[in-house]
Amino acid sequence: MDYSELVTALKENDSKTVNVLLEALRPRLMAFLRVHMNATQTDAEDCAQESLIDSIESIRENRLKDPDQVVSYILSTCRNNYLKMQKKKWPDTMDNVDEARKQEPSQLQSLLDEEQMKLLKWCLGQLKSKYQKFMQYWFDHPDIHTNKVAKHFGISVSNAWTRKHRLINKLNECYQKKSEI
Amino acid sequence: MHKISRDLELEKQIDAYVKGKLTEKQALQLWEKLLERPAYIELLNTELGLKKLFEEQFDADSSETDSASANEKNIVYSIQRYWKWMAAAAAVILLAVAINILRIGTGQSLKDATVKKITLDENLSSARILRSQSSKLSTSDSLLNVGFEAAISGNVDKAMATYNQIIKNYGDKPAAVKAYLNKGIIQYNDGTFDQAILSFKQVLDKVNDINPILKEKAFWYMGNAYINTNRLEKARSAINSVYAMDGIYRHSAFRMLKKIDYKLGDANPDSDSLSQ
Repeated sequence: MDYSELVTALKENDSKTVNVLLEALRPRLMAFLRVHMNATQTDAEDCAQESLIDSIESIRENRLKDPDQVVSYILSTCRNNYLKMQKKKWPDTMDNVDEARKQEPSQLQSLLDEEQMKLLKWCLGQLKSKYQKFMQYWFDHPDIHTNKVAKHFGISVSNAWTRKHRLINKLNECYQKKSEI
Repeated sequence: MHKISRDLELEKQIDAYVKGKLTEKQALQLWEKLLERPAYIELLNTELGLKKLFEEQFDADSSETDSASANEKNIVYSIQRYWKWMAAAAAVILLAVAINILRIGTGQSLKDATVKKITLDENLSSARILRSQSSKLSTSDSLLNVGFEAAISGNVDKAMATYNQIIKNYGDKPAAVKAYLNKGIIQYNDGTFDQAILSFKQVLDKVNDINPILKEKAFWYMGNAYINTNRLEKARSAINSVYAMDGIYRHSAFRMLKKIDYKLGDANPDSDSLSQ
């Protein structure tokens, strides 16, 4: 999806295209807020909405110089809005949060609820043993290079990445399918 | 979402992100790309879930080991800290420490270390779902799913009847092996360990090598059932098979073997005769 179209659509008052793009962006911004910023569902909803409104205003007022930077701009707006929102809520504890985030990697939040985690575990158990071992090895050894993972399993580095991608994809499909039942 | 066009660079960045190796700036650059590739947000989410699963598994394994050794470590720490005082009464203290260690090693019942209840929704075997569902499920596979649903809904009698039906009518099908495993799991949870052992033995008689997970589970739960019936030699043999399979229960099997060996008097629980 090319979000630079959002700038054009806003300038041309093409509300249909604007709505399509905003509807696509909202859940993605929420995912960012929840995973990366550890926001609650409610805060993520509020902040994503507020950030989209702010971004639209800025674009309309020609404050965005380069349309190709629109995603980066919206993401920064979203991040800053969330930090402001939290600072309002917790004025004493949020002073150093932004600085701390710059120093250390964030603790990422998994969005899977308890039921989905159970399903994911079940799905993992359905994989062939050698694939379960592969995934376990991958996650148990976060500090080793993919070369070593590949060597451990007697496959090429490229195949190691492909195998990982296929397995994550399969597990993703599996627990989502099960969640729908 | 079946297939997405792959972006290997993005996958590598996601991997580094999940492993906590990106700076905040790099992470934000990654999210810029993710906003344009939402399919990868789903995969990131699954990956984070998996990471959490493996971490929880690791924590559970560690806490089990840690709690057993924590007291011993405390004793050693105390000895190091007060060594001067200890030197003055070395003989007395060493005797006390020896008694303490002995008490810790034997005080915890081996049965306490066994699986208490086998979680049904995670361990009962049902028809495979990962392959294409375009072909119709066989009757025996459908029955497996009926049994699974009954068991996790708490209708254990119906589940057992269904598994017995599979065994009786489809004894030569792969579903029968799963039915035996599921029967054994339900019997284990019911505390009828002898019957559970018989069911697990049937799994081992019938299972083929292309399904090592079923085999491993049967050995593992059978070993646990043997411990609960005080047949430690047989338990050791079953759990040693699990250990040799180098599968998902390897770490648990390793710890259990050390405990069994200690109980059997063959080795010190702290010795490392088995290489992990």
